[in-house]
Amino acid sequence: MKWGKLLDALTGKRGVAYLLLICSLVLAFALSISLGAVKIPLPRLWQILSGRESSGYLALIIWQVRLPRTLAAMAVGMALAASGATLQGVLQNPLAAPSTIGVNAGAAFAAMVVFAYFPNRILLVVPAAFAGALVALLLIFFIQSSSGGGQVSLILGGVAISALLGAGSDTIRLLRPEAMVGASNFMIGGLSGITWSSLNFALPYLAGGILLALLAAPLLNVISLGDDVARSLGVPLRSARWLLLALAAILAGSSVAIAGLLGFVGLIVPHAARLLFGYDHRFLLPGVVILGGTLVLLGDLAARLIFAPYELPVGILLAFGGGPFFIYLLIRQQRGVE
Amino acid sequence: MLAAEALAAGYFHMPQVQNITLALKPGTLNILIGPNGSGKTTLLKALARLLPPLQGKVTLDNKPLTAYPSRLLARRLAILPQIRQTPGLPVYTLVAQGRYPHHGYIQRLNNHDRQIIAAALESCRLTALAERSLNTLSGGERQRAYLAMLLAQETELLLLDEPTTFLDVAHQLEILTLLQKLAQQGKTVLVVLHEIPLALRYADTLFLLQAGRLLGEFTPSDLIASGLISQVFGVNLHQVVTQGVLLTGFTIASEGKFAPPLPGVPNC
Repeated sequence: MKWGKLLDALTGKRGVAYLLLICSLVLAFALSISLGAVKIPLPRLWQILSGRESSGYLALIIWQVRLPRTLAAMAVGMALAASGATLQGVLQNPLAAPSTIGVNAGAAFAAMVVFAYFPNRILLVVPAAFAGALVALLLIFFIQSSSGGGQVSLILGGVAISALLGAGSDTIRLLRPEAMVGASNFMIGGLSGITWSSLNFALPYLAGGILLALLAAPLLNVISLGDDVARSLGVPLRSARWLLLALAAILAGSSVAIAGLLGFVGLIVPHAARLLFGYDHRFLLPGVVILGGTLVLLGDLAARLIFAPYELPVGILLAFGGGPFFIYLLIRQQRGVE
Repeated sequence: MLAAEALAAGYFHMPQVQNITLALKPGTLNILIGPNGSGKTTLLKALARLLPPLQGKVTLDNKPLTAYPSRLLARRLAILPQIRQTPGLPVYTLVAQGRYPHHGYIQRLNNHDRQIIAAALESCRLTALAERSLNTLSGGERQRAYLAMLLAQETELLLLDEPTTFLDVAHQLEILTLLQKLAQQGKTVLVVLHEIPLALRYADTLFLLQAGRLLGEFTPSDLIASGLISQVFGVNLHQVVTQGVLLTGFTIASEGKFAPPLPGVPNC
């Protein structure tokens, strides 16, 4: 009986969607390692990854450049998407995402402060970005609750906070140009400078955050019923909300710390995933995570290939796709279509 | 059982209801009526601890409500608030949320939970719709789905704020019949209702609220005899027996002359 159910689940619409998405994630991962300025054929790639070819410059490219970058693209995509889904669930607002409500801007500002003024304390970047993201979230939460809590007021507050913190970041860039060599990449969102050392200190936060977001899915379901219903079910609503907001801030903050201001992933992916997996967060969040990882992997791959050997920051590509999508959402929202 | 003593409650320290003292009898269907703005919703929320009392207290088995841990309280008292979200969750998942107070959200549903959910779906005639998403349902089906969630919570106390809003007559009767059945099975039910004919027909006890004060508790016939409905709502109450069915209708009191009674609801 149990196995029959499992089989049903795997062959159902949702099961097929999961399988297809996982396949595309694996494929995107493999392509991201094998393609770039230097193309590495897949058999050769397999030889190197399985350890049979451990020297030579191809092995060096794979182990020191492609692999950390690919892992970073996947982890950042997953984390930003999970952060967006969590925010949309907690704030009950389909327009919420780390990039639209100023959370990314907060993380970026804090990270810039560390880059510019504490260049020897690079380990501080992730905690600082987390703190920046959290402060931005607190501000937005305050604006939301003191302005009557309309859906659009959240976005307008996000615009204001993003502008404010963006101005702060620009000021730092002007004051400390010498410390800000990679800043333009950072402000647009790119993965070209990723090394193991920059990845290593963010990876635990990213992995832990993604795992926690998956575990928190049932809580998001209860919250989606509204405050009064959730409280009447005995949910400790205030602490649950803070926990989830902090989680979204960790995910967004550690992503920004390694990849810069990568917009729109956290906005688009939950909406796309909802089309496939519906509104039940227990099924939605795994889909969001896989889809987010795939999207940024493919985006980064395209950014490397379109103008090869030059490359675009992946943030530009995502903004080209994400901007129009956001406008579409806004219009749909104003028309009151759910 | 649930009781209030000299309770005052409201928002921003402005009491909307004051000096409320009441006690619900176990196994009864209680209906709270009153004009718009008389504080029905505020009182219901305060009785369910969704609003803290400004004065006085609410007790459950002589223990203040505030002394109960949230989940423990949620195992004894369920409330359906007036404003409800319609998330795109499947009906089954919504109803399953009613099991939260019993096992938290980490633990998975066990067979006992599934039986209770199935029974709740069955008694709200939702079994066929279990897989449907909430936002594809009609208003009446949605209402029943939330009611099923409340039933899955397996509480002895059920508080409902206007469960019949937006429902057509047949669905209103259906919901109240279900609540009456639950009361007969031993649950204690308190409902805020706007439809006075329905209230008069179904209630064991009626609580009448005016401008934040409780005018008393009545049986339906006492309430009619007291003439308070006319005073409080500013209407003339008419009851006619046709073909063995008692019809209740209203005319506006200020008009002075009788218009033909509005079609009402058979009063048994």
